[in-house]
Amino acid sequence: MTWTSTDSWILFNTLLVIINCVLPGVFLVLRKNSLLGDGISHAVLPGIAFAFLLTGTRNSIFLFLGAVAAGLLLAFLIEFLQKHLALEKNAILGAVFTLLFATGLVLIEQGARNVDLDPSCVLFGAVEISPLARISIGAIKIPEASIRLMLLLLLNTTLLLLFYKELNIMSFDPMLAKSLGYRITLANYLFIIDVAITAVSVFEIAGSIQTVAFLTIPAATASLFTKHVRNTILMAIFFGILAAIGGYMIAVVIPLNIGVPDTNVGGGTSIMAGIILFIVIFLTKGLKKPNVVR
Amino acid sequence: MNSFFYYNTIVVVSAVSVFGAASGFLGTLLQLRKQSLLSDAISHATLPGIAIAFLITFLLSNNNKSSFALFAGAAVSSIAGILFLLFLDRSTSLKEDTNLAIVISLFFGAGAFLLGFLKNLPTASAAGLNRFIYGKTASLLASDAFIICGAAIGTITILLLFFKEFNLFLFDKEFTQVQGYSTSSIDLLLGTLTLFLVILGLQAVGLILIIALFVLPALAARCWTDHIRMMLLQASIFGIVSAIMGTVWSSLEEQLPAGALIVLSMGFLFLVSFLFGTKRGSVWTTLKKRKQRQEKNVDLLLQSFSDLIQKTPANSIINMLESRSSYALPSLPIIEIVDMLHWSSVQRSQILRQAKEKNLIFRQKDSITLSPHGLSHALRVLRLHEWQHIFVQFYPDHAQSIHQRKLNKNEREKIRIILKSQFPILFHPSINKLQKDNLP
Amino acid sequence: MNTSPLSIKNLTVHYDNKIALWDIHYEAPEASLIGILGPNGAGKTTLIKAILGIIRATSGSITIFDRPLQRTHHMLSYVPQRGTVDWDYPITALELVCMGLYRSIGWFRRVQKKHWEKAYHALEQVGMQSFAHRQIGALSGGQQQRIFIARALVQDASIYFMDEPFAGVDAKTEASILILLRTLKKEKKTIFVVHHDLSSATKTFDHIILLNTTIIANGTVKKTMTPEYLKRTFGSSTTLYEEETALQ
Repeated sequence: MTWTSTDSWILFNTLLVIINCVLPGVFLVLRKNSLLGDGISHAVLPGIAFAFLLTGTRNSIFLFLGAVAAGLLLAFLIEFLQKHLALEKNAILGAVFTLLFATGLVLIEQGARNVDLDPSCVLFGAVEISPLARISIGAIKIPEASIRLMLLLLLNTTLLLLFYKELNIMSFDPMLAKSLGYRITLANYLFIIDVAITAVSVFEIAGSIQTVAFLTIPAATASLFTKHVRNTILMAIFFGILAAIGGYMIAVVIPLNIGVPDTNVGGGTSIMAGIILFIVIFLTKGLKKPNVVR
Repeated sequence: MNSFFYYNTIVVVSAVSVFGAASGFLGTLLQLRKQSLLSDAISHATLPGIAIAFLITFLLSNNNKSSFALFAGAAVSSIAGILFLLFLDRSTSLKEDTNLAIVISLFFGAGAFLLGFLKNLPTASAAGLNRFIYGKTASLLASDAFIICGAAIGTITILLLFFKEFNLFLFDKEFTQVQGYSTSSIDLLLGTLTLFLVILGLQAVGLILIIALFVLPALAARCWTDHIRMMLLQASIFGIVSAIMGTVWSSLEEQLPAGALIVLSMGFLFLVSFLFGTKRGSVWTTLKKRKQRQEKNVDLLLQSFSDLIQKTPANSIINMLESRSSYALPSLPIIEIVDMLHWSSVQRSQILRQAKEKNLIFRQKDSITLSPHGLSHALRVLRLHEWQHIFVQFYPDHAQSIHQRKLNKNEREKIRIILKSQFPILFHPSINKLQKDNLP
Repeated sequence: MNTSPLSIKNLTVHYDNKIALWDIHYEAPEASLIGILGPNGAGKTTLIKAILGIIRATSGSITIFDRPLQRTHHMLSYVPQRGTVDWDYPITALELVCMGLYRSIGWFRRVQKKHWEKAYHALEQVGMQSFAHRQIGALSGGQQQRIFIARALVQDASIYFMDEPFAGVDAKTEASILILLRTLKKEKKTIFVVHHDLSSATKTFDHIILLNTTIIANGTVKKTMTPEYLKRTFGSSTTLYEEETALQ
């Protein structure tokens, strides 16, 4: 197999995807809210379906907005139900995202049957086709997807730098934060909005499989042995990059070299992330104590 | 054709109801163990197994699908998922939700990876795979029904058999939360049964919606009760009812996916429970709170006269009560009341208006005076107040349930005697008449 | 003009559909070590959380030096029970202590050297400076307790609230915490401590609040720690105390 510029762009985009996922992902893991990523990935379906039915086009900007709106709806409903019901957070998450997903399925079957709006595309992703739509900037032709990912990265990095200490205090000790006078509820909403925007942007380009894996696994791997949040972020990015490169190898390069059709890159990177996690678990065994098992 | 249609519908409805009962029941137990999303992990973990089974049957026999092989693949792979989950839990410092998310994304990713190799295959076979993810795109058939029904009945039987053990295991005396994974046999049993139900329900409902069947009925039941038996019963009933609703709806709209309609029916029942549930419903609690707050605020207003009342000689008060007038009692400047109670000006005018409507106060420009009726009520409030204080000190062990507990006759007598000796004025007949509840 | 550090009137707090606190009236003395005692579930932690605004009171008023809570956050500091925090979080002891300063540093501003130094100094005050760069999960129970106190110290508050600071610590740590509290008192601070051990309470505190969903008694140790009041607060669990005092 020959390595073309398309391969480079795919890899580059995958790297951008990873870093974008790791930045909010670290805090999702630290706040014990990792399942939100999985929830959002399923909850966006009605947003996309609704946007499609409303506008009749598959123009990605409308689908994007629809998906983000669905993510926000998810966040709002969870907060609302949590406040009134005071029950296990995960149960409420499960209830809301499955209901949203069911609504999405019905909307799709109801209205979009004649046109091919394939939900599996959202799930399985199409990072492979991301380099195809290119825009010219100066003398270089850059895929549109890369530009969007870079803008997203700018957003996430800015937010991280500006609000680093507030993010930490609210994730680590919300009670202290409240007693100091911080507005916790508002901050929570803003954080989830960022997660939703990041997740949806990445879904569109790379599918939801990688997204959920990258929101969680590299950060979890890093947290096995880091002492500082800054290191957790850096190591998570590192593990993510390894997973991306390795994933691309096992999903595309190796199969093509042995004469087998290539496969889903998102799946490959998820598997690599898992392998890296496994290795690190063995290398760091005993560094931090496991949960008390009852 | 008609009789076949009805036969089909009835069989399907029965099977799905039994399944709904089983998943509602099991889902409640899982939720009480704080493992609501175990079904999420299990369902996503089936994907690699399904993909491998698919690959194998495809390569071996060029057969498009063998249900058994797919089930077997799903089972093996989800067992691997659970084992990995346990491993993560016991060998790492990672939290429960992180581990679930890892298993979900990792196994699903592995599944997508394997499935990706098949993307160039004829679509007829790929459609079979899609069904595992999205469920049936049309109504269920009787053939599906028998599998589902068998699985459900088996599960329910086992759950009922072991109910005593579950009960003992989950709770101490009253309703207490229990946290964390455990390798005890009960947890293993719960996990196995969940796996069983998930795998058999997958092809009917799809791997994402199956989660709803374990979560929604349980959540709805929690809006009505906190007692485990009632919870289990209600969750099962909700499961049955929504399964019936969904299936019937689906047979009327044949092109809509059955699973989604069942889940939406569950959502509807949940919505109703959320709005009107007696234990946790939002409409109910809001109304109750508002009523409590109104009563409490008026009582607080009356309470602010307590000092004045206690400074007035007892004879004076008796005179006022007998003659149905309150002239001897000085009026209270509004500023003092506000200072005592720290209400906002909006709240203040609202409460003063309510008190006036109930004929409890007379309002002058800057102060208020108690009406005769108001005086009796102020004394009632004072009595209740002192009663509660005495109660808490004589029965300190029960202090925390003072506002819910109903006392027996001896206890009431005892406190009554003490109260009477301290404040005989509070037992004037006109006040006794005002008593509601069971307070002496 | 009310110059009492803490003034509570008519406080009622609902928690979990039950009434956790009712009819709470209280005026705090200045520069005093005040113990909050009561049986399990009496609402001691709830009271502190309500004062700090962590949970919302149903009715009543709370004023700090005659001003509302919203404007006096910086005057209060809180040492919670140890079990409330995730010890796996990747921060060091020094970083945890520094968190007490975040609000005063303000939005968008970085943590500067002077802040780190202040945090280090607070660690010195509790004898934990050699652990400054240890991840918090690597510390023992008593050490974790001490860095929580350091975090409270760094805030330069006027009123301290501590929830069971002596629970599960060894005698040496307990003694050093006590010295620290007395130093704070000399600096004219008011310190509230939720305490679980009746026998040591008389020796430790100047004032006591006996709490069991409502205030049974409050005042000097001598006035409140009578067998009668204790019986009324603790009910059946006072027998232990009576035995202990009898032995003495």
